[in-house]
Amino acid sequence: MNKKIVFLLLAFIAFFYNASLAKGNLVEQTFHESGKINVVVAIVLIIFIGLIFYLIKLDRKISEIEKETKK
Amino acid sequence: MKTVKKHWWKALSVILLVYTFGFSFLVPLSPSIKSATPNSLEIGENKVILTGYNTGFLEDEPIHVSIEYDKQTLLCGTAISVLNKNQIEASFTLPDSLPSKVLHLRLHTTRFSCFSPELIKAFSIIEAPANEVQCSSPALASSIPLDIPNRLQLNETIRNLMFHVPMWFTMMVILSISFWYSIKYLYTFDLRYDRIAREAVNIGLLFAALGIVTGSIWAKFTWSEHTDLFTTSGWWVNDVKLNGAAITTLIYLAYRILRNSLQETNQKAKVSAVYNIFAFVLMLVFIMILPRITDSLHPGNGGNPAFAKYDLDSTLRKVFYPAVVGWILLGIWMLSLKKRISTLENNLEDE
Repeated sequence: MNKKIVFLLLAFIAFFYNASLAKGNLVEQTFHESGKINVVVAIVLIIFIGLIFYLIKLDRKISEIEKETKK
Repeated sequence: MKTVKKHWWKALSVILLVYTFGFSFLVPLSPSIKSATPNSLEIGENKVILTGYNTGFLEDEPIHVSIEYDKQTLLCGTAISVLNKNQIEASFTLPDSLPSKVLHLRLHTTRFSCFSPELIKAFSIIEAPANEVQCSSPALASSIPLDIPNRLQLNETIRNLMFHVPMWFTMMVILSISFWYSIKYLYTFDLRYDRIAREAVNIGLLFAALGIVTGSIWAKFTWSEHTDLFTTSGWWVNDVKLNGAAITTLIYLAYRILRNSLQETNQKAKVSAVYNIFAFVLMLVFIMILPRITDSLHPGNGGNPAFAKYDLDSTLRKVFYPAVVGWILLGIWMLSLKKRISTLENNLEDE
């Protein structure tokens, strides 16, 4: 269920990204402005998302262990 | 006191990462000339508008512009006028012969100096050796301000050095830990070591994924732009190191699949430990050895560079090394959490 939601979200992002490309490279323009600083912002955001992803996985595992110990 | 002894490296990781983020977002990029219009000059007088980045030209500031080739000053810009903070106009008078059709530009003021290689082309000149000329120039700035180098095509994205590159360093360290514990497992057949090896591969894969995605975005807006040099212009550039990194990631994904396909615990541990040793060696071949044998877009590849020759200047070194150590310690911290959780899980299963 969760995986489906993530997949749908990614598909939507990909779709809107492509749509914006068709309309005169809006997304790409923002990346080229002011010395391409937004590329750095995007990369830092991705690393942040990666670490959050790790936290979520950790959270789930700890919940499982908590359930087991309560039994 | 005991907590300090046990957790100092976590604090160190946080301090180093705070320093990394602060440094890489607060230190400005050094001023440089981005473009010249027109950038192809003809014989005779040419009026050129030079557009800079972070230059902040002042009215009535002494500015010196010259065209160079092979460390020789060939032409001096005359009638220099400041148009706005980032633009100046200069006029160059080209003779009929110059040593090269592709020329470099050097600019300096009392505040900074910058060099833009291959910024200007010359039309219909004859290529012949030329004499060096002397230009009257303002005194150079006595103290160099702290700034990050502004390279052609990279611009602000040079800051990614502190985020993208340490991802791979961390991955390599984490996978080395995994390799070490796999060997330890094969010596002792203690399942504790096998669990550490497994968790290390998972964390390593996370860092590899982050490295690939960040690298792909970085390449898209820097390497892919030079379409006359590289044939691709998408999210993936056909470079040995990129392909090697992708293969490495697939090899380690196969490690996870192999583990999940085996049922019996000891057999699973043994087979995957042996596979892990092979995978580690392949990883070294694909991302350390092969890119050095052929040409690669990554700096420090192609040939066998000494570490001192590495494409880093002294300002970036001040933040790059702390960044690498900080990210590696963060990776080890993440691994230790995973290890403790898997131990707890295992204890519950045993009961």
